[in-house]
Amino acid sequence: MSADVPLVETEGLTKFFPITRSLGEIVGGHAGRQVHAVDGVSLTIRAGETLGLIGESGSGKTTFGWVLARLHSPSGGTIRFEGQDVTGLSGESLRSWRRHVQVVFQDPVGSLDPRLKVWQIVGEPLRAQADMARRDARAEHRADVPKRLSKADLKAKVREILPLVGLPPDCLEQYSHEFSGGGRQRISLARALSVNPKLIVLDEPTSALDVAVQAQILNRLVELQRSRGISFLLITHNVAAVRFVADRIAVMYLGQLVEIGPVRDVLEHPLHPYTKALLAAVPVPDARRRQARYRIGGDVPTLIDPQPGCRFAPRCPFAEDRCRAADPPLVPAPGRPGRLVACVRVEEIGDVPPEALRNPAPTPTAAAPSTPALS
Amino acid sequence: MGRSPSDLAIFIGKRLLQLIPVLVGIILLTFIVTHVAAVDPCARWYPKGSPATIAHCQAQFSAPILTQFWNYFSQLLRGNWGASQLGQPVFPAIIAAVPATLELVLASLFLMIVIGIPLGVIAAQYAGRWGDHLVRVFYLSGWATPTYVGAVIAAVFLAKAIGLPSSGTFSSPPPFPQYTHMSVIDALIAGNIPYTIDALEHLILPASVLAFINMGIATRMTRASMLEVLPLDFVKSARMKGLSNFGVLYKHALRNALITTTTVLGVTAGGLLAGTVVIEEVFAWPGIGEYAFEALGGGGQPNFDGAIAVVVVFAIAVVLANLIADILYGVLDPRVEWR
Repeated sequence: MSADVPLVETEGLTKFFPITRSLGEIVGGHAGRQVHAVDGVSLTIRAGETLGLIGESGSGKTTFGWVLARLHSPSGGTIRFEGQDVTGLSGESLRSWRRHVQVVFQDPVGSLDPRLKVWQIVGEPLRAQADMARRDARAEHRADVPKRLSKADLKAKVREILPLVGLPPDCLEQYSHEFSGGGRQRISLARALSVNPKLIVLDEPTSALDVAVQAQILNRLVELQRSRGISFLLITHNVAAVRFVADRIAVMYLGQLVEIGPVRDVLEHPLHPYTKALLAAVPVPDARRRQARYRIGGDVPTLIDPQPGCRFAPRCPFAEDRCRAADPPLVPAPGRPGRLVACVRVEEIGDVPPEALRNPAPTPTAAAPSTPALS
Repeated sequence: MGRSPSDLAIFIGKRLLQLIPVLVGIILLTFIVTHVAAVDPCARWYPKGSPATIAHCQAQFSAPILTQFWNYFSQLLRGNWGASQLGQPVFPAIIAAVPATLELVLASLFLMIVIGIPLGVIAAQYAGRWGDHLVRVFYLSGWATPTYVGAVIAAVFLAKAIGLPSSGTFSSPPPFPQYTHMSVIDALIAGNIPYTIDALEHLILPASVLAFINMGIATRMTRASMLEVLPLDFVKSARMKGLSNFGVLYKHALRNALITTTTVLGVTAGGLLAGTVVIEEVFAWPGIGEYAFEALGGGGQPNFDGAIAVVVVFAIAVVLANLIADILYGVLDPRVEWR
């Protein structure tokens, strides 16, 4: 693979969920409405990099990760993996492609089958992929049909994987419920690593864990990246984790990407008003900086059949008519290499500090201080 | 407490000990029904009895209650469960009828599992769509069918239409010894293939009717617990592993959903046994159900002791079925500790 072909490239990726119509609506001939969970996201993930994806709850970041891993079929747009279009993969070809992309889920309890032992959980993807390879070899009448993985082979392979995530190799015969939350998340990580994927989608992998265990898991991720060159898509609302692990950061709001760029640059100089608001809402231990915190008011607009125009406009203190006229394109930010931002007024807003955003009241809803939508 | 084999043995032992008070309770209940609550029981149960029989019966009932209970209890324990009006002892007759009923119930349980549970998976997979509705129509019509209606329709019309026998266990008396008194198993032991097929043909209609009527509970429980399991992340994990749709649904989702279904199947034991009373009579199946029907006066010869014996046997069977379901529950769910 040449260096300029990104590992993953999405273009205008969308995922709409239809809303079930009531009987009255069907009889009345109402058109079906849709939730625009992911609405035209274009981004790239390079080989060996970690992209952090942050946003509020309900911003569509988890849905985006699942669509990227083809747990959901996209409603529109394309996903290219190593330059090859994988949007339409289905059936056998989708199953065999799955070895390249794995997902670690948020809930360390729910994501492990309670009926399986550790070696079965971690070994099952290996066996599934080995079985598919065997079948392909037989179908092509090749002479070198690989042998079926025996239980002992599988256990031996799992035994090699477990130390990578900091689990003792002798826990093969244990069930997942015998582990703590951190231990279970390590099992999930081992399961994801087992097939040697090129991309792991980490869906809030540490949000259910305590701070010390979070740090251990994040350290593990950094080590794995260095030693194996795996790419990560880290979906989280933990800005500190992103700062620690990620190379680049992408910010989502209501199904759309508002900003993307190198992690330090974005966190220190957020350009999009939403990013500024989101980062200002992160608690900081410094009392002087806490003074500078501000809140954005207004209600989170609905994701059901949204109006055209910037999604953030109803809550944005800088919004004007042209913001509401059309979706702002995600374009390179002037003077800031490697950064893209979707805001038509980005140059005018410039580096206005969050403090200056506190009082102006361009819209009636934004003036209501009693609605701390972000805090 | 744990999950080692010795823990399992202790668990089963404890549950068997718990059977004792349950059985004493059942015997007390049947005693009250037969000896305390009955008005002039001797005349009712021996309408054509000789004066000697009536006098013997009345002598029993004139003793003090506790003496009566002790007599009743000790006779039961000694296997002396009384006799029919024709003098045929109840205990050996009941024991001889157990295998046939067991065969019928196991066959319909098998049908409930291999048909009812996959139907539940299909219903969950297509929840709210046509597949779901079709499955619901199927199991609700089974549920709503009175046993005697279903049995008669199957024995009279269906049997003719598809050319299956509707009476007894074999078409002609088998030439081999019947060790287990379960028709299919005996024929298999004898290695007699034509007789095995014949026995299966006799078994299929009564077992299907019994299964059809009781299947709804298995389908419905499977559907409900599948709907609970399917959205969980471990099902998505299974998909990410590259498993086929079948593997995801049946290997991961269903195996976890079955934990609830198993418990409910234990509860259906009562329904299945109740169904055998009518079904065995209609299909002339030589089991406890048929015996019960006859004992209750279905053949014009009420059999007081036999009817009571059936209650006791059914009660033991229901308790044992639930014990087996409890053990299976623990085997299926590794998080359960034997206690």
